[in-house]
Amino acid sequence: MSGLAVASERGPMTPVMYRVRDRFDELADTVTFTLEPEAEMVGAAAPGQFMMLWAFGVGEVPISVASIGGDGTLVHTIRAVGAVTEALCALRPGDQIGVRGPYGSSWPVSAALGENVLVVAGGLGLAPVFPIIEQVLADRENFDQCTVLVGARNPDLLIYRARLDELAADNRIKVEVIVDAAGPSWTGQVGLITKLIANAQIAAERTHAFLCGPEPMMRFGAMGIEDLGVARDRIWLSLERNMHCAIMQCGHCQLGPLFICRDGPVVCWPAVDDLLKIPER
Amino acid sequence: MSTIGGLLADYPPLSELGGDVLEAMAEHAQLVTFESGERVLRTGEPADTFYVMRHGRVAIEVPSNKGGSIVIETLEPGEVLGISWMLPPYRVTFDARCIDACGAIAIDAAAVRDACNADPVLGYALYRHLGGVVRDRLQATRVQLLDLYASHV
Amino acid sequence: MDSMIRRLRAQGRMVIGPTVRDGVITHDQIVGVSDLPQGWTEEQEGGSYRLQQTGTDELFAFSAPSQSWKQFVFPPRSVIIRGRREASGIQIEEPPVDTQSVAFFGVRSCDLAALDILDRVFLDPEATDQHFARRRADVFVVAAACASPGNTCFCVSMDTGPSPTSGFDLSVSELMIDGTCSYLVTPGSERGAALLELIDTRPATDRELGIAQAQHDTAVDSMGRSLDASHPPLASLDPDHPQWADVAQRCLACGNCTMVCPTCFCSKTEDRTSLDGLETERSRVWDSCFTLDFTAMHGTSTRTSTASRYRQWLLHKLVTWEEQFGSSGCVGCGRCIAWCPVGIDLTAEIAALAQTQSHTQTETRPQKEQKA
Repeated sequence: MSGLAVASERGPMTPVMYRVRDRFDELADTVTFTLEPEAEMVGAAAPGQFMMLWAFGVGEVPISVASIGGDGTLVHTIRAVGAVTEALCALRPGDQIGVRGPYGSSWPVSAALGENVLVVAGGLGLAPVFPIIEQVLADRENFDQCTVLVGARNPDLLIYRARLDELAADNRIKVEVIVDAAGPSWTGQVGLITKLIANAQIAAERTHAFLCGPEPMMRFGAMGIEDLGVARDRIWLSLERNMHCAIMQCGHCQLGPLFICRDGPVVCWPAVDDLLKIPER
Repeated sequence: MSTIGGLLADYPPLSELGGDVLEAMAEHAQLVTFESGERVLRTGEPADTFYVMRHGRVAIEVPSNKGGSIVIETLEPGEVLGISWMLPPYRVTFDARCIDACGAIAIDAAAVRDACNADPVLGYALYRHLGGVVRDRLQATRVQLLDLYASHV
Repeated sequence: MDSMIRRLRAQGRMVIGPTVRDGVITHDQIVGVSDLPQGWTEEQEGGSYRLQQTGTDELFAFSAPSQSWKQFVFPPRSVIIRGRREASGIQIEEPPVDTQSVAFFGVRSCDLAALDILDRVFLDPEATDQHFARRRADVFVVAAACASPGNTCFCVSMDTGPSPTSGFDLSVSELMIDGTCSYLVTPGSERGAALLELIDTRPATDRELGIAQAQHDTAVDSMGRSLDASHPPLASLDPDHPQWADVAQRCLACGNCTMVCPTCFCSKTEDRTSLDGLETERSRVWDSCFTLDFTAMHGTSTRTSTASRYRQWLLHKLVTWEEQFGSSGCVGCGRCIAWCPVGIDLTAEIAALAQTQSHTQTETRPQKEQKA
């Protein structure tokens, strides 16, 4: 793998073919894939960036990189919600998949060096923020407190359960999980993720916050984090929009003046606060 | 400040109430413990006691039509368990069950209501604070109703 | 003019220029002056386009033809990649870049500005569209100054006309002097000057230069419409402004405006496969922000109402484009006004948004003061 060249000399819309090394079924409709390059690879992704994944004959979708391996492999967690993602979720080890990227802005994790990191993830949002946790753990002594708050609808819909259990047992970070509703076998917390934020014991003035999840959750989460005293320009969200090109040429991903494929998906809270308030019915 | 008053003051949200209010509550309070799985509140019974949790987690739940119960919220140490006592008809709305072995400060709701009626300044301060608790829970519940995870991530 | 066209064709260039077809002036391949819309002008208004005869020999008496030049640098449908499933795996190939050499004949100043605006989208160094780049580098541009702006024109407001100033190889001004047409030609590049050497020309007289200037000045004063350059007023950013509901009642969300607009660049990708599933073709196809699917995600769309989609188009074209690409997205050609089936006029919409805002402000303030 390490001998592979980064793909060049190709049009900006031409994918590089990767192969599925393995797949893990997180949920009935959600799969985590490990992809490995074949003849060429795409450039290294930074935490928060995404790839355009191509299902032969069906189409492309933007999917955040969930884990960044040193050997050129890519990890993506995909939920089947449409034709393309359904086709991707049907792939088996050995199948090929087209990859373009990496695209977009990345989480400013190094801005938090020497200070606190607060990660808030709802549902599938745990995937795009996972590289932040990996980066902090890889360089643990250079960050202060690291708190990870995870929310899901119910315990059966949590992804990365094994990873979360590992992290919860790791005393280098504080992990808290909360679900909207649960049966009696759940001994963890129940309620909205904003409750975890309100109860978070963090030194707000030295904290950098990174959120990913459904848009209303990120908005309420950001407001809750502001209420704790974290500076607005230290609160970052990862947004999602319809994308066809990822290179600012198809026009679909616009939010006001921002192209989410270039000015996002990672955006600073003050830059989008007003834009997200507009109920674009 | 009495021991229980001091204990109440330990919780940041309650400490804003001020020594007088906390003492008034402490007068009608005692320390209690529950075992894991023990039911603290039952739907429909008179709301004559409310609690400030000290340790352990409590589940607020509703019976489910599929058998068993659905937990709709869990409360952590420092949170107030029970708000139905504040207004008529003073009836408990949801079940509350201890998930872990719990310790709490149990407060006589009827006595506190009488004290509030006798001293409006105390009443205003306490109800104002608890109004904030109710508001926060209502807001959270409304957002929870959005079922954010359903058609999205 | 005829020898210019023939010289360009002799260079191996396909010459594309204005021509009458199907009751409109459109852009298509021309082989000589006889293909040009001699003696024709356009009557354009909101929702209306008619050809009229001028009774003169003028070649360029029209303003903004039904088509812009967009489709020749950004085709409505083009193949991105083709893929084949083979035993060894999926093979991908990019379609070869079209090497046909081209000339644009008779490009209006507004359309020149539009090409420059498209350059900023498709020549982005981080993601250059190779086909676009090749076509733009190769194309020989003969611009034509506009002497008869139409009712729907407002290039002066957008500072894009009526006379071309840059971005061309040659620029032509048609001068009507004593009943005959003569053509003042200005080179704008080395290869433009080189072509000029091959054509029968003589130096322009001062009188002719004066007439060209006078024509320009008259054109500047005859703009059919204007757009207040100090837009947008703050109210246009208010999604609850009543004007949005007003225009939404009229707008059909048909997307005609985005198709005729020389700068609209939105597209989508389409994947097709052979019946046996072994071959596939990915294409880029023109799209419009007016479609319901434009913002589709997870089975629903973000902008479902016509009002929100009209607002997106208007604010993108006139406001956010500037932040994104460093210029306005509008060149004042007026095509969106003429080709809108219901005649929606963005200059009128902007004026309405501006006016109502100051109206609202006066109404609310006195009430607050009374209460105090």
